[in-house]
Amino acid sequence: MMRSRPPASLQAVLLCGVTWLLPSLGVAEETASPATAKSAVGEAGSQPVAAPVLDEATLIARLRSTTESEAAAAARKLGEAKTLTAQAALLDALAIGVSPKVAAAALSAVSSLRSADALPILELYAHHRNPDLRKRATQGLVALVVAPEETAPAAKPQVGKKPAKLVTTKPGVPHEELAPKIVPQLIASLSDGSAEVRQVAAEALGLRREKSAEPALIKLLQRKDTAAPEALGLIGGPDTARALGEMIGTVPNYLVTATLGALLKRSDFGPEPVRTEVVKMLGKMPGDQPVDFLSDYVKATDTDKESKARPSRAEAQKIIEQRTAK
Amino acid sequence: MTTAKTIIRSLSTLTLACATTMLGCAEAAFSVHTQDNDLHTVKPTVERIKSTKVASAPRSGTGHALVFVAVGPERRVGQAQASQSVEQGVVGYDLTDGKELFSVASDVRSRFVVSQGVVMYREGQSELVLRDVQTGTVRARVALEPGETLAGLSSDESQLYYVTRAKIGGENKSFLTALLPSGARAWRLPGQGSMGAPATWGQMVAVPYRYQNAVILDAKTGQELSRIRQKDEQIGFVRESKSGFLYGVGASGAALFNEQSIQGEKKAISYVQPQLGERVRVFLHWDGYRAEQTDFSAFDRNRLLWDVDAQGDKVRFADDQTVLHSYRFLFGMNAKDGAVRWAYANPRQTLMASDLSGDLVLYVAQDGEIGGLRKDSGSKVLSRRLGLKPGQNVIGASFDTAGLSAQGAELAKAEPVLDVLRGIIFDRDSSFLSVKSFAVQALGAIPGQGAASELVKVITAEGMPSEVTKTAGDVLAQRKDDPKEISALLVAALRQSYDFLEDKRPRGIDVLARVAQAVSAKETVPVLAERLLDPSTPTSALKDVVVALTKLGGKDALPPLRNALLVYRADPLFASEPDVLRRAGEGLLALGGEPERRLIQYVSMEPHTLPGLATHFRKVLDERAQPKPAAKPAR
Repeated sequence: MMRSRPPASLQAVLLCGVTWLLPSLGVAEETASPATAKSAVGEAGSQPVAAPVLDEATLIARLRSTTESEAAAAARKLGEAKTLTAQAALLDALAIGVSPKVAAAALSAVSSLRSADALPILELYAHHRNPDLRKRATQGLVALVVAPEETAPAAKPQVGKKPAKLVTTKPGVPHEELAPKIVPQLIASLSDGSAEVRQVAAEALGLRREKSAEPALIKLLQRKDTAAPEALGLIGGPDTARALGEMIGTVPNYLVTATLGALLKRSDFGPEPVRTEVVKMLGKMPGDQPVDFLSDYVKATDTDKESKARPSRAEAQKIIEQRTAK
Repeated sequence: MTTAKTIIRSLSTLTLACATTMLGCAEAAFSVHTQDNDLHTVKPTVERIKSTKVASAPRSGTGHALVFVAVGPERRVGQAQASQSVEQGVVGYDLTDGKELFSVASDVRSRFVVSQGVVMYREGQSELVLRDVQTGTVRARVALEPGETLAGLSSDESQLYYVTRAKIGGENKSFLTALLPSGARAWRLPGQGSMGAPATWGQMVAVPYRYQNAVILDAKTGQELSRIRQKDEQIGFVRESKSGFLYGVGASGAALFNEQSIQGEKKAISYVQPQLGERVRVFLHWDGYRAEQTDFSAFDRNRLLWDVDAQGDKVRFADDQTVLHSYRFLFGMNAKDGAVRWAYANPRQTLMASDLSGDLVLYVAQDGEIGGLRKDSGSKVLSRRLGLKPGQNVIGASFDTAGLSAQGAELAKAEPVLDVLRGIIFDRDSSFLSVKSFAVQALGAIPGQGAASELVKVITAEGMPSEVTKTAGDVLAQRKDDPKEISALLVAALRQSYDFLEDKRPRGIDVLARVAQAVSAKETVPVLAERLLDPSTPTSALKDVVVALTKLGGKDALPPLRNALLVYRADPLFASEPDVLRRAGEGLLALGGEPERRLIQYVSMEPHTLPGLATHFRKVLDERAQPKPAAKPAR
């Protein structure tokens, strides 16, 4: 974790105007002198990392290059550097404005740093007119309130197909104290015009098991958004199951099936009568997809005597037999 | 001797000329030598008008109020030929007895005029037909002279009149012809140049002539009685009124024919002009010189119904009211200030013809309904229905209903004006754009928060034409409501953003921002700041948001303006919309201090800034840096 210190120049831009700006056009070079560029990771006492191969001052200077690709590459390298100076330079660049391509690289780099100092900039760019920048800023916000293991890029499951592996919540959320501020923004992002932004927000809310997001996610499903099933499957309870029953016919079958399947995969989903209802609903859905979900459920409950005795499991087996016999 | 004879002959000629002039009767009608604006001829004519009592009775002589209706297939724009499968015809209807008198096939090509048992109109290309008002049977046919075009029809209690125009020997000629109800010609007068459609009053005929004159003639003899000339405007029409002849002055006013008319200037004559607001195109009467307006057309469905009262030399609109007819809507208008007193929206069907008759507003709808509203309240007091044949629609109608008055119980009370206006504005039919704009404008004169709230709804409505929303904004900005109420409405409306879940998108942000600025609604600053940095705010609306923030925001506007400028200064998205960031920078300079000046200087020098923006700010800063010229020392 990086040391938490607001970058002075960013504060100057956001809070106090720009009194520093003109005299310090070369501020990045000054603040990024090798003597002050310390490894924040090392300071925090965790596993020390190797010192950056590239000279940080050079990277910061390149961040100001008029060649976009050079500036974007510098932003990426600064993200890898994980130093306070690098972070300050990235946040400065975003605060005083760069081209969208460089901003994209800088936002990704800032996200990877998971610093609470980045919150104002991430909030600002989460409302950028460029959807890609909004997505990256939202990813940055997510990185602050979702454990790193959970936010690690994974192949997005094709909708209607079951995910390769069920993700489970793990401790180690970088800035849980920021959740009251960030979670409402993520819920608001479910209303964003960009499907990618909605996807990022929905995934994060699902991973966090944010019950407060359930109504918005149900609406998202009703709007036929493919980001909804997985997240809703991770959050939903009996009410969600009932709502899904009412959506059959108005929401595409593959989305309803995916959500039901995701609910059923959860070990904490219940109680048993609701689980049985979900199994029955899946049994009524057309195609091979429901059978796959039911088969997985039968396998997943083939662990102990108690699980094997579940009426929902028996119901699932019955449905599988009926449908595969045809 | 020869010289003396010549002198005597000259003097004789001069004496004759003088005598002729003084008598004023030697020149033929429409002579180019006739003196106009001559009090010696105008005054006797005005006296004659004043002393004549015109009976308020139908001209048909039947004593019954009659309506003559042209029916046929619906005429669509650009359709050259009417459908052959649907019968065209004319229907006579007796409003007094409430019965249809006749329905005959006929190719109607003009409005109808009525006199002593006959109804006359143009049938086909070049013929006038006179039919019996009771049976519809043909009494006479009058062929137009070869090469002549019908320019207008009129009638009084004893004769029928029509004007034709032709080009003869390369010159424009016109002819005014009087017919007896039998179809026999009473007289025919030629004139050099153009005559317009005639009008009659008290055994006199008036004709607009050569665009600047109005000529009054004796109806029996065709003798020209007097001629006036308007010096500063065109005379586009003549028509009758309760007080005599009226003539159109320019595009938007009319004057009463009286002694003042000889002044020939708008400021000196008995002139009257309705106040309907700037967005209403005033159509006071059919253009007397446009031959196509003798037939039924959109002008019959978009016009002002009015009459005047004369008090000495002054004229005013009767009861200070006019009635605006626009397609299927009728509005009772205060002629003084343009406020809507009542409004009537006919369900679905366009009103194809309308007229004032005493205290009634009469109309004929496209589906054959003949209706009547009280002129003072708009409540419905009359509704009859024609029996149309399959496929037939009403094309137009003319009324011979003098003396008809509102009797019996009201069939329907007039709806509240606000409800009718709301219905008009939100009607899904988008073809009535001008009516919608008019209705929005009319909302401006209705007091109370309800009307202001409706205006905000108009601005933010989905699919509302931009012209209408712009009008709503202008009207809202000019209202005299409680500023706090307006601010509250604006704040609520400006909160809107794109919402995928609710399928909502922001609308009218630019208009709302302009209104907020116009009414100095400082309470809107926080929401304007939100909209400036909201990606769903249309780019086209950002400039107005920035301008409003700059005007209203004070120091509170600095952070959003600064963020917008810095975050987007290098974004090519704004290369095509440079005004937004320019205004944001200028706003910072105007509202801020040295830090903001330095910020703009930085933006102007930093190489990533969009080139056009950097250049602009360099220029602005240079101009600011120029020393101001020293003030002149006081003397």
